[in-house]
Amino acid sequence: MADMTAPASVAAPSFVNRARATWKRPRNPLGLSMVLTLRNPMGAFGLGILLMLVLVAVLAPLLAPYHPNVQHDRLELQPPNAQFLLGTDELGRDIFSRIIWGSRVSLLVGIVAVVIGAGVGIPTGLMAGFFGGWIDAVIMRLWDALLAFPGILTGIAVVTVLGPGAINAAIALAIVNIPEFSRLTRACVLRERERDYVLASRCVGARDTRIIAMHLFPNCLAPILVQLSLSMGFAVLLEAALSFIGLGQQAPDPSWGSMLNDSRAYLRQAPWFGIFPGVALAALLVGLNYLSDALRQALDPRRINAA
Amino acid sequence: MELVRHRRLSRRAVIQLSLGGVAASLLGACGPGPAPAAPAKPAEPAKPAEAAKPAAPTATQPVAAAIKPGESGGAATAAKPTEAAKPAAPAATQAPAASAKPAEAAKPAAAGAVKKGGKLIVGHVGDTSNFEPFIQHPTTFPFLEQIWDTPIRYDNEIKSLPSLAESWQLGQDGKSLTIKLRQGVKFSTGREFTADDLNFSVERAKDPKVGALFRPQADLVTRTEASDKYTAIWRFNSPFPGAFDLLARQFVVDKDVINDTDWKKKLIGTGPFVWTDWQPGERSVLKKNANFWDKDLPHLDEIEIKSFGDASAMAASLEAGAVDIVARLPTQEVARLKDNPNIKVFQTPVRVMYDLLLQSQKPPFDNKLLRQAVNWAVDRERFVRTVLAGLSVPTSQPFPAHSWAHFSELDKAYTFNLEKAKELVAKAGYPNGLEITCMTATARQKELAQLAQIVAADLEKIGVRVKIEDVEPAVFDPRHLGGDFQMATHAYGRANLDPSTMFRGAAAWHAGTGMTKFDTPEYRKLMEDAESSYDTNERKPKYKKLIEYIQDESFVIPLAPNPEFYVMRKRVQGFSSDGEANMSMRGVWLDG
Repeated sequence: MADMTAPASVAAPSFVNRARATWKRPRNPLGLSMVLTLRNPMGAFGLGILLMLVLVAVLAPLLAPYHPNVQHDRLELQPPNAQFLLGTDELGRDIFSRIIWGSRVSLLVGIVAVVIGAGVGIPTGLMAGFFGGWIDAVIMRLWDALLAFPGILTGIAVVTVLGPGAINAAIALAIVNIPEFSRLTRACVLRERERDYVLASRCVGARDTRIIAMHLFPNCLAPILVQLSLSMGFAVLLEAALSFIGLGQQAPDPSWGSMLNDSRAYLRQAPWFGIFPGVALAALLVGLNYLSDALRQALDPRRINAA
Repeated sequence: MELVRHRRLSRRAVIQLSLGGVAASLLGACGPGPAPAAPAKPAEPAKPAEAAKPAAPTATQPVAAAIKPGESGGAATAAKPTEAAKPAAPAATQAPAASAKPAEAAKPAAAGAVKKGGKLIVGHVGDTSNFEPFIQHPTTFPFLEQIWDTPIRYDNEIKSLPSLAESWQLGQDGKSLTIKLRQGVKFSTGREFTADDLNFSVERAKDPKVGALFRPQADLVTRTEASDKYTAIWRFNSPFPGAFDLLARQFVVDKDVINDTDWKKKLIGTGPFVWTDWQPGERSVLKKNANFWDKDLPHLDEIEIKSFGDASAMAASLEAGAVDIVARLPTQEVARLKDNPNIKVFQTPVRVMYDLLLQSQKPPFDNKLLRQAVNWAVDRERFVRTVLAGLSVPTSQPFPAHSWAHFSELDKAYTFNLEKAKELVAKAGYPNGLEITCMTATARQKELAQLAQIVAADLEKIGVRVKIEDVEPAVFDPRHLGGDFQMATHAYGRANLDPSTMFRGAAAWHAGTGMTKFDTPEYRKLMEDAESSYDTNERKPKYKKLIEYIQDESFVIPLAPNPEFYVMRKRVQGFSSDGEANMSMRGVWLDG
């Protein structure tokens, strides 16, 4: 937060200088900011965690020692040991395997929610910002209405209509995400469309669609990218919350949120049951938050200009 | 700024989520700290008899505290008194006259030791949402018995004790029941209670609009009369062996106010306490009824019913001493609390049985062989061990061990045998397995969802893929009652009462209109046969035949009794429950 309000004259952090020294400056600003993000230790750490979890999710069948739903009779609520690395749950299922398989749900929901949310939100935002008038009014009032409800409440309402399940939870969270993307894009377009380069391209006879696609969209990409990673973290968390209240992934298939919920009754007897899914969830969220922080720093126009 | 807001939100939420459980239990433990459990104890005469006290409880408080997995709280012997209380032959049926004043009988032993006064704090999950006494909504369990009284009461062993009725007699043909009422009983408003009030209450229970839980039994009372102010006569079309269960369940309401739309005015009865205050979401307060017919009761001055958001927080409060007694704790919590030196666990004879319901009129479970396959494929032992913390006994028949309709030779009619189940699935026409759905509701009862997962995992092994539908209670209940499912996890009640009361009163078992929609002429005939007499010895073989038929048809698959516990501080004495889940506080007193 501090960086956001810092005056532009503040010296660039050391990693920026290092990036400048060791890398040939990419010609487009976006490429440069990607490099800056990666050279930022926080960004590298966040991306590392994210990549690791993606790898875990993809390779789940190879990594998990047991099938996540297999119940080991008479081995219920075992503490972590050599056979069950993170212990077992109340029905004797291996927590380690369930966390590995659960990562698929979290990531899938996060990605689907963000892709659909951005897919709908960005075009509507571009249109609203560029055309203004009644198009703007209709679209924005619609999103205002959606924003009037807290995210979790909208999520619950949508899942109640569609029925519980991981995919439906993802759709619900996508709907929650749409207004954020749309408003962010619109705000940026409102600023950009008054710039001289837009006027110039209009003068040479560019059509609206070309101006939107070739000029406005690329110039609005910076805040959208930050919002992408933020929204994903938000969606993962909300999915856990929905699973926690039984509206996300359905039993017996694992999800971190539902594991946390199941563990509640056993918190005193079997703390590992609740701790490990919680740690996994926290790791993913920390990773996403670090990444978005780093992105934001790197994409800060004042930084880019300084570089 | 948009970004900033977002990031804050998600971080805070992360912390909340991952620490949520810990925080809740911590709060529960520290929150109510300064509230002393019994601040107002005006009269606590330091009696010399105090020393004698510890020995006394045996009389007032049946110490079923020791949880024995095998015998639900000494219940095996409890079956007999029930029979004794229910007249064997229609002719000679003076009430268990010897115990005409049961409260008296219990008192002398403890008379010197009972301490009057004080405030009892009852913990309860959820807030009172329905004040109608006949519906018997779970949120009313802590106060129903305190406000409204019944003609007879069941004690902890389901023995009949007189309360508003002093004696009762069956007619020669078994088709009428004469109830002599206690004289001089007053409602808390001061109006005298008469036979008309009792008859009004039964007639009201028969009204479908009221939604009385015991309407199926009340419906069997075809005519009500009053031969004088204190004598009510009920007439039946055929013998009604469950009549005493109805007498114990029929709360007597004040006909002047009960249909009032203002709930506050409804809460008038002849019970030992009166309702004085309700703070939604916080607590309800009941005060001693000065007009109560038994001048020695109640011992307490005040009862406070405290609302809790969830059971873990309530358990923590009990441990911290901020609450005196709680009911309906998850079995896992009970297993943990029972070793606490300040806490005792009281178990009532089993009332509720866990079961699987199979929709018998729609494919695939219209196929009897497939239903039997499921019966063989359920690992009851494992369910009891993991989900019920070993505090129950697996069984494959509908009644628990303390009921006279329990036949030990039928306990293991079905055992866990996947080989046999697989054979039956193939024989039923599904050699390559099939896919079914199983409905459950975590939000209603966690145990039901865990049961569904255990059953699903075992059925998977024999090629029956189970999709678990975990639905909201608001969806679960109508779908259950309407038979809109293939398989469902469930628990039915009244297994502790007369068998006819269970078959008529528990919706799982109704012929035709029941949850599984199972209906055959034979089922109906066997059921009616077994209800045609008051003589237990005569009925017993008939029920055995009925149960064997049920086991063969396997439309409802009984699994294990659900042990019910009341967990309380050691200082709570004289507590009893009534054969349903209601808590009775009239004999309760606080020791210290």
